[in-house]
Amino acid sequence: MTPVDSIRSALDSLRANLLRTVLTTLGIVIGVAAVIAMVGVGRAAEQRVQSVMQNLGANIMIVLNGTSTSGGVRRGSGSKPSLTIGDADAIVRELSSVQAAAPSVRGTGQAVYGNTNWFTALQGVRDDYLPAREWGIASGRGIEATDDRGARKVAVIGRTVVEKLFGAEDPIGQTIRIQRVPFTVVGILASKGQTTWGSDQDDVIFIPLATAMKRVLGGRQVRGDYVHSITVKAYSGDQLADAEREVTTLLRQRHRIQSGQPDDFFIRNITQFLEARAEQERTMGFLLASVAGVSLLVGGIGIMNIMLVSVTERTREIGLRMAVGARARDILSQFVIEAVTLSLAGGMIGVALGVGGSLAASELAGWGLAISPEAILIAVAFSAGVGIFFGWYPALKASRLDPIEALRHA
Amino acid sequence: MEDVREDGAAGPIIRVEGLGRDYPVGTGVVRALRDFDVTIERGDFVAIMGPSGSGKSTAMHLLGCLDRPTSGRYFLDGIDVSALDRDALAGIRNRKIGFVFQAFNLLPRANALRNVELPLTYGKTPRAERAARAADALKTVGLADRMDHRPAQLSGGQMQRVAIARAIVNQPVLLLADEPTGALDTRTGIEIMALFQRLNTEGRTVIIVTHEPEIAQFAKRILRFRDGRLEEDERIAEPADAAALLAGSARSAA
Repeated sequence: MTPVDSIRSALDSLRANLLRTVLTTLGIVIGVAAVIAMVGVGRAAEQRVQSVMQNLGANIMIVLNGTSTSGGVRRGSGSKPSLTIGDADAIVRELSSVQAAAPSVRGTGQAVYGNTNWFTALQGVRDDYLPAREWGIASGRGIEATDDRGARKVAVIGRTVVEKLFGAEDPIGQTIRIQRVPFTVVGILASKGQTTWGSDQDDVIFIPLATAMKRVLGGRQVRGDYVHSITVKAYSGDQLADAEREVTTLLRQRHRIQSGQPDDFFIRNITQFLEARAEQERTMGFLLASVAGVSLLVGGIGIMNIMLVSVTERTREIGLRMAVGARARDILSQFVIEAVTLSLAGGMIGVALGVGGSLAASELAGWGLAISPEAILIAVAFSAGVGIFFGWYPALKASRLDPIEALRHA
Repeated sequence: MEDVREDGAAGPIIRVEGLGRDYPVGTGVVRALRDFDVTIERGDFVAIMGPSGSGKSTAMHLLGCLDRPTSGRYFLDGIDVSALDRDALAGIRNRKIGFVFQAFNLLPRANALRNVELPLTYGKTPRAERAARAADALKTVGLADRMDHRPAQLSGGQMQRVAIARAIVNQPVLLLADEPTGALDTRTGIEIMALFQRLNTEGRTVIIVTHEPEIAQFAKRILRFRDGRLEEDERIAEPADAAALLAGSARSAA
């Protein structure tokens, strides 16, 4: 008997008991769906951590100004300036876990080149900012220490700004006006694309911190010597949590905050937050894995049970098949194929459900979607394996029947 | 397997020497069959008779290669099958023997054509050839117009014809029928016997196990069993003609 014959006969008998078939496959359906969802959730979590790491630079946290309250109205974060360049220098000088602490100010402004203009983000930084964020220079140079010391009017511009102001022209060496102040373009940033949240990171102009504070953003967007943020880079991801604690202690000290009083700054540790979340999602993955395991086991036992029933019900058929020439291995393979067909059918439905479930999870819980072909392959292979494993014993039992006894069976 | 034939096509289809079958029961044994000697030539039509417990079923199982003897030797179409293992016996059954059962034993979910194809699926017949051969077999038994009917859509007589088509589809050397008319009314039973007689006339060797003398009267030879032994081997000079009987009753009814 060829496998095609076996599959045809398997499909016949499964169709004959359609409801029973569907109920039997339920365990496999749930198990496989859980496998798909598990792999999908795990992969999505990892992908997001990686993409954020790439956007932000590795081992980064950001120190921001605290909130202020005026007349009971709480302003947003950064509304109460407290961070200074001195804070940044103290962090990098005194904390051994910190590799760099780059102060920066940010604002927005109109940039003009010739008769075109573009409204964009402005950021005043020192020479330590772009390296800390692992942000490369596509051509020209970055902001250097001397630019900041001399409060030079130089600008490093992002890819989007290049397109909007210069088109195909080479911007290096050209003069643009930012808030009416003329700047020489000295470099173009490597493109970073969009953030995970969809904002264009290439729509930005970097200028020296001192220049920004004195000439461009001073007064309205920057008050006094205060900076908007300090980007802190730890030596390694493991040190990030320590660094966060140490930075907090140091800044409270420097800002003379009494114990019991709240911080006048706060730290956004996105990497760690994401790691924690990825961990959480991994836990969810393990949970799904155990659901998958239990379901596949229960589903497998269900298949075994129904195959045993089927062998008993069809004892006469088995006897007849033996009488007309079926060997033990023909009967064995027929029933194993039937069990595998059963579990594969469940597997297919499970794949559909798992993909649907992952889509739903990514919609509802905001977990990214990552359906991998490997996961589907693994799930299908798993269900086939369950069919073989749990179908073997009933099939063996069928193949060992005595043809005479089997033919006599009522 | 034609090439391994020892005696050649001219030898007897069945040669049985001192065949015995014991079943262990508790501490003792039941000797279901002993000292069974018989030779059956090609083209014979044999009825095996006897009360229950006489050994006729055991004899049929042994002759059908469904069971293996405890003692003695059995040559089927020149091959010593008494020493073959289960799988080899399955091959012999597939190529050499066509079975017909009292309860038809058709696959309920398959149509007539696919039921008849079944023995071919266990042989080496190419898929493309199967349907044609099954269709031929169904034509032989007069069911050319019922090929796509399922067993539930057929009468008892038609189901037994499908079973007979299944038994002859692989061109076996021996047709072995176990109470083939037991589930049918008298007239339909005679129709089935007429079919067996026709197949026999066309050269097929037929063995029928029955306890009904009215059925055995259509055979050319009757083997009677009692208490596990072959008691009587009777040659019938002029067997009843089932087809003529049917024609006669049709005339008298008209």
